Amino acid sequence: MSWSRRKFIAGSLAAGVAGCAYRPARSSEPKKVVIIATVVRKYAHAQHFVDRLLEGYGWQGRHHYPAVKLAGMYVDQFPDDDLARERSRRHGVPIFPSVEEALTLGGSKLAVDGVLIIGEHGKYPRNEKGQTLYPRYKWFKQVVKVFEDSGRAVPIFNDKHLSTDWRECAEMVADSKRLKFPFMAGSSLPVTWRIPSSEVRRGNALRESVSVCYGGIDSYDFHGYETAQCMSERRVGGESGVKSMQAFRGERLWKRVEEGENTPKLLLAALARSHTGRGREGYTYSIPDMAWIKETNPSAVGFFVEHVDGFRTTMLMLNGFIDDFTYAGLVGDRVVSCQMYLPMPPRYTTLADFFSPLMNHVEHMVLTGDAPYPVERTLLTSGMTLSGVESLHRDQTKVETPEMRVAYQAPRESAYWRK
Amino acid sequence: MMTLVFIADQFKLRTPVQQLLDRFVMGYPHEGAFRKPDCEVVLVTPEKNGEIERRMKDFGVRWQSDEASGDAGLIFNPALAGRVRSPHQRSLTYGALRGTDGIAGTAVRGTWLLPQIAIAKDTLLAKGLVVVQGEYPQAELEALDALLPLIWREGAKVREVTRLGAKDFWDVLKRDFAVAQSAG
Repeated sequence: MSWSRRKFIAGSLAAGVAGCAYRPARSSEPKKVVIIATVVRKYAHAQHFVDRLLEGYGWQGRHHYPAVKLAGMYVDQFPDDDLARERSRRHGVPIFPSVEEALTLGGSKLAVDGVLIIGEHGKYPRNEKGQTLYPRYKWFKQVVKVFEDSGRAVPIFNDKHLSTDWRECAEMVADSKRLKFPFMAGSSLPVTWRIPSSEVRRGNALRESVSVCYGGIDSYDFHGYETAQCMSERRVGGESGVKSMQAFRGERLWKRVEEGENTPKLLLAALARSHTGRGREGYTYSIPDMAWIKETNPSAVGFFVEHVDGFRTTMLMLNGFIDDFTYAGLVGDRVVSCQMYLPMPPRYTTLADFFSPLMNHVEHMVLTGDAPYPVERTLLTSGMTLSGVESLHRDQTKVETPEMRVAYQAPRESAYWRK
Repeated sequence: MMTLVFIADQFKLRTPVQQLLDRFVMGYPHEGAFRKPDCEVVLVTPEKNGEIERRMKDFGVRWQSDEASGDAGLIFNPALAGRVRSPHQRSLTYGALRGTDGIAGTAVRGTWLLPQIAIAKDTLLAKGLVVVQGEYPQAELEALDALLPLIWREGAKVREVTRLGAKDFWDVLKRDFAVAQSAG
């Protein structure tokens, strides 16, 4: 973790040196994209993107067929329930044997206008910290090499966090600045429906954020950070970066929560937006209080993010207590809260339509060259994920994060789904 | 303090009467906070069971087997409406659309809309389409409960209800709602 802000900025300032900056293709043909995927099976992330590109998706009250064309795929794994080959046959989309061949469509130079790296799901090794070693960084670098060899770069979307190593994450962002191509990454959480529809004005007096979610470490924790960060970044002054991270479990977690002047209040406010709260025996639901939350969450994990400007974000994973993603923030003395609607298939949805706004943003980025929000958000949420895992690995000690002094401004309007 | 009388054929978990009664006795999330109505609850069912006894013990719910007095009634079977003695004639009939005084309806009417559309008063709506699934008559009730609050106008009345099946249904859908089938 030796990456410094100076190095990061230097990398950014070097943009354009290589001379292969993003240039939109000038053609009347539909723009072409490729998907680089770990696995395409039912409910794998790549299936949601492949099928939306090939079959379309519901958008603003109509069935929308993307204006971009899926021209090829590279797929790393083909389990018994693989769908990539069936989609390839049915839609005439070739599967290439390498990332390079997918990007060049079998030729010698970059032949597409956008790249989707969907490195989620599939069987990959885990390290001693429990992180799944998906090949996102490796594939990103292979894509960048094709850009450099071709003298042309195109937009990239990277699903979920960037990598499991901070230097790799920072290098990916630096590459996008150096080669001047639009780079979008992250989760569906910032772009899905909000219940209620809640826009937080940029430059607001946000004082603290709390998000509550569920799921596994090095997995859904990233979604929980994205839930909070797409709100936190809108505070006055913008995002200043992350100074430290600390994870807690058990009694230490609840002691830390209750030490926060407003954290318990925000936790309850977030839970008041949940649709899946657990009930006491004989009830379908119970009004939560701290005693009930402590009693029913012996495996809870909490992550405490100290931002450079003193702002605080708390992210709590309450497995078995809730099954959704909720947020509460303190703006001045007022609480703002919502659920970020991500009903998980197959239990709560078949379509997983929260992928639709993400797909639509990717499509828009490929067509216009504009990413909907700064990739620095995902750089920071990737860093939070890595540092949270690190804190747990170091027995819940505080992890200083000088490398995460990444400042940025949120977009004027949040990019969530509201029409 | 207001006394509410809940009247149902039976009380079981995951039924509308349980969902609503629990909200009145323990509270519920509302606009980002938890709200507890200030009321007493009387439940009228022919039989008492463990779920009712649990609520009597935990929240002081009173139970009657035949009828009860109160300030308002929440009725989960219109045929039982006469079992609440309410001088104010205030009632909510869950599921039925007519036949009792007071308001009636299902939870569909008040739920979230995605997206959160609102049709302005006096909008001249030409057509409305609602798609539901489920069994008769609950599915039909919920469909109308979803549609009517959006399309209703002062003084409007239903002129005709026609049930269509199979080919007739698809013909009408194609003729009158072709826009809903087109892709953008």
